[in-house]
Amino acid sequence: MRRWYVILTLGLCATIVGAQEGGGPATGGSCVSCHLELDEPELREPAELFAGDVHNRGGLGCVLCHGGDAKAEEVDEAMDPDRGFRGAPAAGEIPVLCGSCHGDAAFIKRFDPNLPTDQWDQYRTSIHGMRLAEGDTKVATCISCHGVHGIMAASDPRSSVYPTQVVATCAGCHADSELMGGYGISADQVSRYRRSVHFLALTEGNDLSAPTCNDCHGSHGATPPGVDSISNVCGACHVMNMELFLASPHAEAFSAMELAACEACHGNHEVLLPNDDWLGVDEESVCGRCHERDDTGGEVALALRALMDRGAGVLLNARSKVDDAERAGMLMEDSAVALEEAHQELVTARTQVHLVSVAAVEEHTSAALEAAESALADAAEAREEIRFRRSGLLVALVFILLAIVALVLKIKQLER
Amino acid sequence: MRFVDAITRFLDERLDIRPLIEFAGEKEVPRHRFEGAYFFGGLTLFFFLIQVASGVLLLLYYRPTAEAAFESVQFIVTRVPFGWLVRSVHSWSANLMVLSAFAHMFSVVFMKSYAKPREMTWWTGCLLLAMAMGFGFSGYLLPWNELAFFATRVGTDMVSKVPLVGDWLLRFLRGGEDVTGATLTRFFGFHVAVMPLVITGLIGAHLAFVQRQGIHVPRGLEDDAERRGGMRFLPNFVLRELVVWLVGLAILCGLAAFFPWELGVKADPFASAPAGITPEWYFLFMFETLKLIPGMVLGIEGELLGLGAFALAGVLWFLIPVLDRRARRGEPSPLFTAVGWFVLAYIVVMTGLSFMGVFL
Repeated sequence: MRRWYVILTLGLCATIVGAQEGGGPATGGSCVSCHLELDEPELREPAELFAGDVHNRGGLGCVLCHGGDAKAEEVDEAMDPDRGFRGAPAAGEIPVLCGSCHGDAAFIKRFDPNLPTDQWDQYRTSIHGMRLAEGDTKVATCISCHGVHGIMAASDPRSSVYPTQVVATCAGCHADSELMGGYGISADQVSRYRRSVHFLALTEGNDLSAPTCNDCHGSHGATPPGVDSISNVCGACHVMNMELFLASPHAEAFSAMELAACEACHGNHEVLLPNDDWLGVDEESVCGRCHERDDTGGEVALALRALMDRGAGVLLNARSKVDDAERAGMLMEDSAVALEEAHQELVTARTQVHLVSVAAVEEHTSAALEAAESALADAAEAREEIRFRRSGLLVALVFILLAIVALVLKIKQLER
Repeated sequence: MRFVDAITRFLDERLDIRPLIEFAGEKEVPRHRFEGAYFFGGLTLFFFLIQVASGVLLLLYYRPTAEAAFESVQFIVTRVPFGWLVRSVHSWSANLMVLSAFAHMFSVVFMKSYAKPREMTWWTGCLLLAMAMGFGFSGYLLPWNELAFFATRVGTDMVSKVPLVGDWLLRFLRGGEDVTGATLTRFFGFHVAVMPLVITGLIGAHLAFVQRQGIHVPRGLEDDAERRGGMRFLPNFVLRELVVWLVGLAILCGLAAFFPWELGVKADPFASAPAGITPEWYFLFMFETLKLIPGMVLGIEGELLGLGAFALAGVLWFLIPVLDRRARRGEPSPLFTAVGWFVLAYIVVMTGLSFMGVFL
């Protein structure tokens, strides 16, 4: 088996070198010109798609993967096994075939010096790669994700591995319950992920840094993160939350109970937007899954909930009052700054919840309350100003009306 | 009264103002069932005077640079005592002035008061309306907020369509290729120096023509006017005009107190234009019409065609006293009455539909 790989790799390299030495980059040549004229769609389409393929644009032609002679005029010569023609590679051959170039740093550097060359090594460590090595050809290989003849650069928004397309690409297999059933894996991860805050940020918020499948599982080295590594996976983005969690009493307790750090409260694929109802010990709360009202954890959970509820309530009230004043035409720039400050303090307090420390959370909710109360005071002052303006207007209107009446009386007197 | 008499005597001994007083005392304003229309001219003047007074107060704090303009207006409306009122009165009064000027113009059209010998009064009136709109256009930019910035960019861009001199006009208005701080300084100069100078002269001429020629009695109302007899200008008409001014003042105060003029957000020249950019309401009928015209019409750029059509309509409107020969001869001219109604209906309908969001 190993000898076969070596022969294949050497053959490919020889083809590449030959193509380069032959003067100019390899292109579709006679392969594309013939296949474009074929009636069978399955034989014509590859040639059509190849026009937009990133390899074609780099001057790398069909013979690189299929062998044969792209300069030959006759089909028998072009597809002559003696000229290295090997047809469509089998599924099991594909990672080696792609890796033969993509693992060659010197070769890849000629096209894109920043393109990694460890995909093949990573793939072998992935669940996909390990199963393929065991002879399972239903698993994903390079072409399952990148496509075959119309391969685009990963940075191209049309590419099947562009961040916004990744979930659909993975869904091709992982949403297939029949296929996944064979591996004892549920096929609902994709539908659950599509309800998550991450998917929302990626698709509606146009935030390409929001995580999609490969950001947590890896791409070429795709594998499910284990219980011990979940906090590291989430912590890659949520650094502060991870640090606070690791410093909290939960870190040791979760480890002892073999609970996955972040996942135990936030879930995995369907990570929803957290809210203050998660605190406390009632039915909707997350803390209540482990804690009772009268245990220490329950008491802390209730105290945290009370702090957050008070902060959020005062902020809501302040925002409503400031909005009222703005609707009445008052400029409330200072209040807007105070409201933003209160909001930021509450966001920080919510982050501090991961430390499970009442004092740490209270420090920020108190700051939020102070800022919100400052906005409330501004709003009260604005209301007073509105009252003053309107009563001033009333007085002015009375004087104007009196003047009008006096003038009308004068006119009547003159014209009597 | 003794004090007023003393002042009058003092001035008369030095300036011989007695003939002027006698002229005013003898002057009469005709009375008929449409005499209410005569007050719109005076009301427009009243709002203009408010503009001058409130404008001077705003000048004490306003700073005409791209860096400081928005902040200075913000300072006026939040920190300066009664600054909010002065700024709001200035903005509302500008709009009421244009509205009153439009009402005055259409009353003149329907009463055919533009006909000989009052052509020059009509022409100065048309120029005054154009100046009022110019005041609005230049003043719109001064707070340097987002809406005004992009509306000015769109508005000034239109002049670039003028054949031959379009590019030069664009650079003249903007003080460069794009709307920048140079445009703001330039508009400020137009708004507080050049245009007030011109409009003062025009108002002087307009009023002088009205005083010299007397008030026109529309055709068909001569009998009504004769039956009712004239109204003495001083004090009867002036007192009535004062009542109208006070009503205008009450409306202005109410609007300023209950609907303070918004400031919006500071203009960011590097940001993309927000949705819903519109000019002041009195430009809406032209703005929406230009949007409705296809990009190319018979090989001519649609916008150029639209602007050309409006320019031609403006010239014809200006020349109504010359074109309406029947009115000049004192005969009925239903065609021009119909044209007047059509123009009024077009402006009202297009403006109304624009406010209703039909063209969004």
